[in-house]
Amino acid sequence: MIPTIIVGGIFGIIMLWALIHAKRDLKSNKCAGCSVNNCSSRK
Amino acid sequence: MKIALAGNPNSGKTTLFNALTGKTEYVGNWAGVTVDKKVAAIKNKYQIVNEPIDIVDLPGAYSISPYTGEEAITSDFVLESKPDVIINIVDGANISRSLFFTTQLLELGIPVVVALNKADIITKRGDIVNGHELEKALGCKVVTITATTEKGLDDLVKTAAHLVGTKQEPLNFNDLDGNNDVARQTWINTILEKSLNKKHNASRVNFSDRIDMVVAHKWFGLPIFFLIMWGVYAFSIEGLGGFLSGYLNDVVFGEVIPDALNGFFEGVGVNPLMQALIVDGAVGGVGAVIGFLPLIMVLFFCLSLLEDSGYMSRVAVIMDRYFKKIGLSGKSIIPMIVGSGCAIPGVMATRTIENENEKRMTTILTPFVPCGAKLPIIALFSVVFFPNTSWVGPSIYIIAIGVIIIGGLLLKKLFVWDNTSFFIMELPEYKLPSIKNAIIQMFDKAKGFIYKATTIILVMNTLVWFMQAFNWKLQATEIQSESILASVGSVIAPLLIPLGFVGWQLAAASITGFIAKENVVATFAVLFAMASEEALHVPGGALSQMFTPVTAYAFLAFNLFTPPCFAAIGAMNAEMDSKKWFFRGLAFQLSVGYILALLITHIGTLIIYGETAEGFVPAIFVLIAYAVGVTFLIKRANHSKTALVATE
Ligand SMILES: Nc1nc2c(ncn2[C@@H]2O[C@H](COP(=O)(O)OP(=O)(O)OP(=O)(O)O)[C@@H](O)[C@H]2O)c(=O)[nH]1
Ligand SMILES: [Mg+2]
Repeated sequence: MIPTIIVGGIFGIIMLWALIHAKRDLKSNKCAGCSVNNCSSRK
Repeated sequence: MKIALAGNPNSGKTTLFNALTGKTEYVGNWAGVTVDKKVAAIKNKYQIVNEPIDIVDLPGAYSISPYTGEEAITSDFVLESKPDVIINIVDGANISRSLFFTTQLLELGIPVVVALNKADIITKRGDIVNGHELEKALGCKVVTITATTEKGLDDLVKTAAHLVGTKQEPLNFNDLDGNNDVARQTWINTILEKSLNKKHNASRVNFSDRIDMVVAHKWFGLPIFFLIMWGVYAFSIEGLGGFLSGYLNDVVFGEVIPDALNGFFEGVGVNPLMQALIVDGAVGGVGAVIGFLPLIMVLFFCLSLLEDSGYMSRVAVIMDRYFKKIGLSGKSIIPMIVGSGCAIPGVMATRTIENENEKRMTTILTPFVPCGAKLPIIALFSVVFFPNTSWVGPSIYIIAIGVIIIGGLLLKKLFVWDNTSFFIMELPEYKLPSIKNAIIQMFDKAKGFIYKATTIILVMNTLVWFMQAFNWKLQATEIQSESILASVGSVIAPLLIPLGFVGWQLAAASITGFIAKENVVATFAVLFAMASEEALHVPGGALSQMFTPVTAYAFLAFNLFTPPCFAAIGAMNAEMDSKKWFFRGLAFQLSVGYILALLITHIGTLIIYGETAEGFVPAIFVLIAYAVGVTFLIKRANHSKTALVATE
């Protein structure tokens, strides 16, 4: 049980990070690839 | 302190911007690469005053009175936001033309430094520029630089920083009467007589012209373009890129990582469901996408070399001949070439097109060009269904050109667009492409690709895994067909029957593809992880049971030629600036992809296997309905056109 919780917790944190970034990119209408290279940054 | 970089297109503004700020903005050997202003802080190395310096890169402009959308960004910026200093980049290979814009900038009162760029080319040609004469005539500082090798930049920044707070004296046109454009250019030519000593006679046929006689030839141009594209795609998808990706997919993500994770999780005793979520869901899906990283890198390396050499601007000229017939011009090619990386900057690049109809048409057609995100799907289907062949990738490219031309014709008929815009493109000289630039762009693409795989793809994948592992009562189920995903997919699946695609999995994959195209691959990886011990990429595995080679190719086309991903759809919406046209565009793209897949499935199956494919009868009905619909729309369009003429 405990290993499952630890592994699940780590995975949860990674997911949270991914979710925040994915949401930000979708919202600002950027392709994720662009937002890291800043290629279509608008005003 | 704000320093703006302004100058003609292709003069090297972005190259200078990147050198000064350490950014990696897009540099291409053609006019109209930058279509938006970019701001960044200067590198520490060049931060020579206490006040922080910001550099602003602007789209290229020929004149302060704008012609096109991106030129307007430049003139608005210099006229309204009043930068502290303007660095006016003058293309050393094209001094006379560049100075026209300079004379206009000098009248704004904002201090101007002329950065005479591409000094290496001036030296190579043996031309001599007398900087002092030029400074005297223009009444501003002139600094000679080479942006590519960062030569003279210290001096440039220093000169610019010292000018802050001063006021530019307006030009002294002396004996110039009148202030029209012709007089201005004449004045420039007079001052250049004193300050520029050209070695060569300009009318001489040079090396670039000689190459152009072949590659931009009326008849050879197009076949040569196809051959080059074939080479690039075959090399990246099936050649070196495919080879490396195969290794990554089959060995690293197919065995090493899952085996290690499974071993570890079993060892420490993690719940099997959690283990499946991480190994089959997250790692499996993301791995299936990241496996294609080498392929993406090889492709963008090659494309970048091709672009920087100056060849891509010739493609615009070659295509102009064919595009004219469908109401587009060579200008539309540039968004499409940019779109081969990603449809979003491609769609944004339509700003360089003045004609409204032509711009709309280009915005609708640009997403048909296979972008980087679509490559993993192409590569996956290519290795699974057509192993050891090299035609799949290039053929998709050729189909894309066909779809663009036929789609353009159809749009023209549907909306009776009469575009008679003409196209003049300045052809930069050929040059040895910069390997450094190509490597930078390659790693940029790689970074973006990995980031995307670990954010949006990871999220979608995990969601897909949950939806296929649980039923509506939120109980874990071993039987995929009873899962949430299956029931959602089944709602859409009937729509795919006329295309010969049977299975809710296909519907599910296509839907996730609208979020990001790589998801098609990731979703398959998650869905088939249970069905097969083999990795997704192996011919004869679980994926190959869903299709015949013909329907596989059709499914590939369906995913590539229906509307692009959400982000690109958003960009289309923003550029179109009209809900009506936006929805028309989407409907058009959807119908094009759908009918194309339908035709491939049924005609292909008839010809290759001599029998009808699944869904043949519904397909006939769809086709008839489509033909009737299109005819009706064209009739109506023609009717309103005649009505318009009659009332005039
Ligand atoms: N030989 C030489 N080439 C240069 C130099 N600076 C830039 N270039 C090349 O000129 C081309 C255009 O560079 P960009 O920086 O994209 O030009 P830009 O002014 O930003 O162009 P737009 O964004 O279209 O307005 C590229 O192929 C550069 O490699 C230079 O100092 N010497
Ligand atoms: Mg630029």
